[in-house]
Amino acid sequence: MNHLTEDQFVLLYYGDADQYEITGLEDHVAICSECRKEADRVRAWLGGIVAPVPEPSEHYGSDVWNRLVPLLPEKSARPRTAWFLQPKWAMAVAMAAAVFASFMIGRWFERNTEITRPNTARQTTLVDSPEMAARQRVLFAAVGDHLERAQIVLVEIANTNPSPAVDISAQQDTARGLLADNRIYRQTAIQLRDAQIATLLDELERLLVDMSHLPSMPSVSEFGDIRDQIETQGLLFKVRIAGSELRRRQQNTIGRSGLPGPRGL
Amino acid sequence: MARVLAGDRDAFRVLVELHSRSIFKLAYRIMGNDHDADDVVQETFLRSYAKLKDFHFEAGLRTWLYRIASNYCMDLLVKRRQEAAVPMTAEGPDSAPDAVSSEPDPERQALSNEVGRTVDWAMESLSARERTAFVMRHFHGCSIREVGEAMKLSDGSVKQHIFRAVRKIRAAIGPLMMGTA
Repeated sequence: MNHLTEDQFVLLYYGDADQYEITGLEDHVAICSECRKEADRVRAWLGGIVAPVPEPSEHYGSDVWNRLVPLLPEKSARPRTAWFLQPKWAMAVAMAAAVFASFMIGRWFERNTEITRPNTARQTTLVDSPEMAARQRVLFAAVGDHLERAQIVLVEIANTNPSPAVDISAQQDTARGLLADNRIYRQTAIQLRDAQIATLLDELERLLVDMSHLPSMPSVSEFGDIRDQIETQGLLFKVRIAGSELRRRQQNTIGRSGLPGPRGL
Repeated sequence: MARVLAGDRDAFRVLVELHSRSIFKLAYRIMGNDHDADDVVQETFLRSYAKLKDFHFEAGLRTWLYRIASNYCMDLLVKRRQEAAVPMTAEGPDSAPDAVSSEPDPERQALSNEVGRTVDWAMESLSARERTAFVMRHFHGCSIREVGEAMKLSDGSVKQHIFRAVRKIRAAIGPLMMGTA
């Protein structure tokens, strides 16, 4: 195989090729000292490209909303009658809602302070109002996207071999961005009493904080600790599973009626 | 999401509060200043509210919002550059490597040296599409597919924009950063 081209080094850095191509590139780099040296150089160079962004305040979202309110039309561009409000479905949906409400009330009494026991095997979500249900659905969508981004960072860390010259500044920049969002999502999950999402986000947050506090070129030992943290907690696996589960559940929920089904990450 | 799609303002508010910060960061990195970034955030949510009927869940929610934000950013960039009398289209002088051939002025170079890895001025040499694709992939961890969905480009086209962006940035700031790498 010929030496890698400049574009192929970039592909290798971002991992943006199909697995077959990436394997071919990695195999070549493994046996070609010249390309290995260049790959390290490109990795260090690209990893060093950072663009600091002023961190929006915690109230930024509320501020944006306050600016938006006077500009939003009274009704959305999608006026429509939800299928569950149509007369032929109304009775069936009302019955289902009543059963669901009874179920949730029963669970609430049974569960009591379940939110304080994050490792419980049972589901801990409580949807006791349409507003909370709506917030929960938005949370599912947002956390699903968030976990996808987190997964990319975790994969990059997990796939990097510890060495004294590893530069993780790019991953740290992403981690810091994820951290701010993670806190908001975790707080929202707690407010919605979704212990499983809150627990996962709590674990993820600790890792993101640790990553953010490392030097941009950590020692082998420091970098190894981060990798161990990912591996021992099975964090990458949990993030993958939870992300795909949330996306599936989000689509299923929309596909049905908006009523959340049985949970269980 | 069902309530958001049905035009429920409270549900839409949650969406705004959850995503406004990440859209601000995306917009800031593309536009390079907080005034434009704020403008992009506001316009993104106004457009998304008006375009809810176009959201069909093929793409993730974040990707859909990024699509709206990045398209508006590209429009703004083209407009800004036209106002500055620099010939530029959405595609930009993509095949013009000489876009980065001019050396940065001493003041900017000194600033760049001072902050080490700042790449602001190098980003200005990129076309609107190159800049958007690079920012989404490099800084926001979007996959090539997500970038393609947001920009309505094929995977191959996204890669080419990113390759060109990297080449231009490398040509512009590579020598400065070699000492730090």
